[in-house]
Amino acid sequence: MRRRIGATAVRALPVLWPLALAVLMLGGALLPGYVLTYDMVWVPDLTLRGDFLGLGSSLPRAVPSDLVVAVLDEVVPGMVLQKAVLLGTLVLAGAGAWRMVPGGSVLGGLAASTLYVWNPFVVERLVIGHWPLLMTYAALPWIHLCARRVVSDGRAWPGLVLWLAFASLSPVGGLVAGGLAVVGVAASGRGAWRPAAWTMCAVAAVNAPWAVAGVLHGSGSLSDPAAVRLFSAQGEGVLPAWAAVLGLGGIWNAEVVPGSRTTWVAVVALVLVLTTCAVGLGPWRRLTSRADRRALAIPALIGLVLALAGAAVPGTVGWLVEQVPGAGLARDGTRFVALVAPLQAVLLGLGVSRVVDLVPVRALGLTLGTVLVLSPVTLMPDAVAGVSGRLGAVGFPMEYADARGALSASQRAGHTGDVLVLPFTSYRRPEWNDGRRTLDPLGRYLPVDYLASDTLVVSGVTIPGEDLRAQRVASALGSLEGVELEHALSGEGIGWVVLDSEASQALVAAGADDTRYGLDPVLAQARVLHDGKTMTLWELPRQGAASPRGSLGIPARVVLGLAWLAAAVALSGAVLVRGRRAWDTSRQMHRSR
Amino acid sequence: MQGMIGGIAAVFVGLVLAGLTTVGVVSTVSSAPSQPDQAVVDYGTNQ
Repeated sequence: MRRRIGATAVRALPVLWPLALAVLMLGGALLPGYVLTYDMVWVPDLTLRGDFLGLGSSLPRAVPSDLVVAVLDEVVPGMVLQKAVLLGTLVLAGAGAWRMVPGGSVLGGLAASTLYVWNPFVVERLVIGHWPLLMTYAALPWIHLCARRVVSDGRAWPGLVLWLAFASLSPVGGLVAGGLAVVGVAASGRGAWRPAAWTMCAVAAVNAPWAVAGVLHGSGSLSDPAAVRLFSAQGEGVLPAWAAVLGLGGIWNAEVVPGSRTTWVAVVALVLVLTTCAVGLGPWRRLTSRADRRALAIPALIGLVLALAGAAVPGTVGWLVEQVPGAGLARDGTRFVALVAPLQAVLLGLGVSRVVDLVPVRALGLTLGTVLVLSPVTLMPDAVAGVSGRLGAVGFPMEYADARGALSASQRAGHTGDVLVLPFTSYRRPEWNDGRRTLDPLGRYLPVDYLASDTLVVSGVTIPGEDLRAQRVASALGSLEGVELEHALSGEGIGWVVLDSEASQALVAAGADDTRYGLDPVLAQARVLHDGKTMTLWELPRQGAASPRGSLGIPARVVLGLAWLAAAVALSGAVLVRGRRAWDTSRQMHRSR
Repeated sequence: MQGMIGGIAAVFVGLVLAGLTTVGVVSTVSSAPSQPDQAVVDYGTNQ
C-alpha cells in the first residue's frame, strides 16, 4: 500500500512540482481580480469584433489570441480564464521540460522543470504581459517530443498539430513553435522530407490568420528601423547583452527585469547553470540520438542569433524591418530566447543527475542535488509572490461598466462606428491598478472595435506606429476642434469618443500635454452618453460614413476568410482524429474488462 | 530503512542550504539601486 502511494506521488510529481512553483511565482496574481501589466490586458467580457479577425486598420498583433479569448470567455468568465491561462501555462511548461529529460531520473526531471519555469525569460515576459508567447514557450517541450515521434509514429500527428495551434496565438509565437517543429522533424534526415513538408503545411495553416492579415496590411507591416536599437537585447547589471541572453534574460525593458538580475547573483546563476549544463553534455550524447540532439541544438542556435542580432548588427536588422514586410517581428529579438530554454533545461537535468552520481557519498550527492535543483529559485528569489508584487489582481472601476452600458444602449439604438479612446497614448498607469503600467484597457472593455494610439515611447524616444488611420486621427486631434473635428473623426469611421480623465490629468501633470493626445477634445454637437468622475463618453453625430478608410475590401476579406478556414480545418481535423482514437481506446478497454 | 533516513536528512540539509542562499541573495537584492521612475507615456526603458 505504502509502495503504491509512493509510486503515485512520483507519477504526479511532474505536474505537482511546477504547480507549486507557479503558485509561488504568481502569488497575488491568483487572487480575485484582473492582472493588468504592460501588454497583458484582460477584461470581464471581451466582445467579439471584426478587428480580432484581422479586419482592422492596425497591424494584427493580437490575432488570433484576442479572438480565442473572446470566444472562450463566453463560456468561462474572463477573470477565471486569465488565472487558468497563467497557471496552466507554467504547469505545462514545467511538466513538458520534465518529460524531455532522458533517463527517467527524478532529480533530473526536477532540475529541468525548475529551470524551465523559474528563469528570467518567464519572469520578464510575465511582467511585460506577453502571455501568448509564454503559451508558446510552454508548448515547446511538447512540440519537440511530438516532432521527434511523427517520423516513426503517425499517431503523433494530431498531437503535434494541436500543440502548434496552442502555441501560435501570436505571430512570433507561431514562428518560434513552427521553427522548432520543422527542425525537430527534419532532424531525422533525408527520409523525413515528407513529414517535414507536412509539418510546414500544418505550421502554415495554424499561422495563416495573422500572416494573411499582416500581408493584407501592405506597407503598414513595415517598421521604423530606429526601433531596432531600442528593442534589442540589453545587458542586465554586470552581465553584457550576450551573457544576459545566455542566462535566458536580456529583455529590452529594464523596468521588468528582477532586481536579482542586476547584481552579482546573476553572474553566479549563469556560471552555475552553464557549468551544470556542460556536465550534462556527456549523458546527453550517450542517451540520445544525433537527430534528437540536432532537433534541440539547431533551434537553440537560431534563437541565440536572432536574440542578439538587433544588438550585434542593428544597421542590418534596421534595414530589414524597414524594407521587408513582416521583418519587424524580429525587432524584439529576445523573444526568440525561448528556443534556447528547452536545450538548457535538458542539459541541466542531465547535469544534475550526473553530479549526484559522481559524488561517492550518497547523502552528500543528494544534498548537492537538492541545492542544484533549487538554485534557479534561490538565485532569483524576487520572482516569488507575483514577482515581488509586480503582478497583482485588481478590479475595474464601476465607471467602466457604466460606460459600456451607455455605449451598448447607443449601439442598440442603431448608432455605428468605432470608439476612439483618448488620451491618444498607448500606456497608462491608473491609480486603481496600483500605479502599474498597462496598455490602455478601456478599448478592450468596451463592446465595439476601437481606435487607440499605436505610437510607443521608449526612454523618451517616440516610435511611430504603423496604423495610418491612427496617424490621421492624431493629426486631426492636434489641429481641429468642434464640428470640423467631429467631421474628420466620422470620416475615419469613429462613432463614439471616450476620454479617460484620470489618464488625461496624469499627462497634464507630467507636462506631456501634446495637443495630438486629445486631452480635452472640443466636440460641439456630440451627445454626452456618460459623464462621470474619471470618464466621459460621447456619441458623434451621424455623418453617414461608418466604414473606416483603410479597412479591407471584399476580395481581401475573402482571402482572410480562407486563411481562417485553413486554420479551422487543421485544428478540427486534429481534434477529430485525436477524439476518434481516444474513443476507440476506451471502447477496447471496456471490452477487455 | 537507514538509507531512507539518510536520504531524507541529506535532502533536509540541502533545503537548509538553499534557504540560507535565498536569505543571502534577498539581502543583496534589497540593497541594489531601484529603477528610476519613468514618464507616464513611456512603454518602458532600456537604460
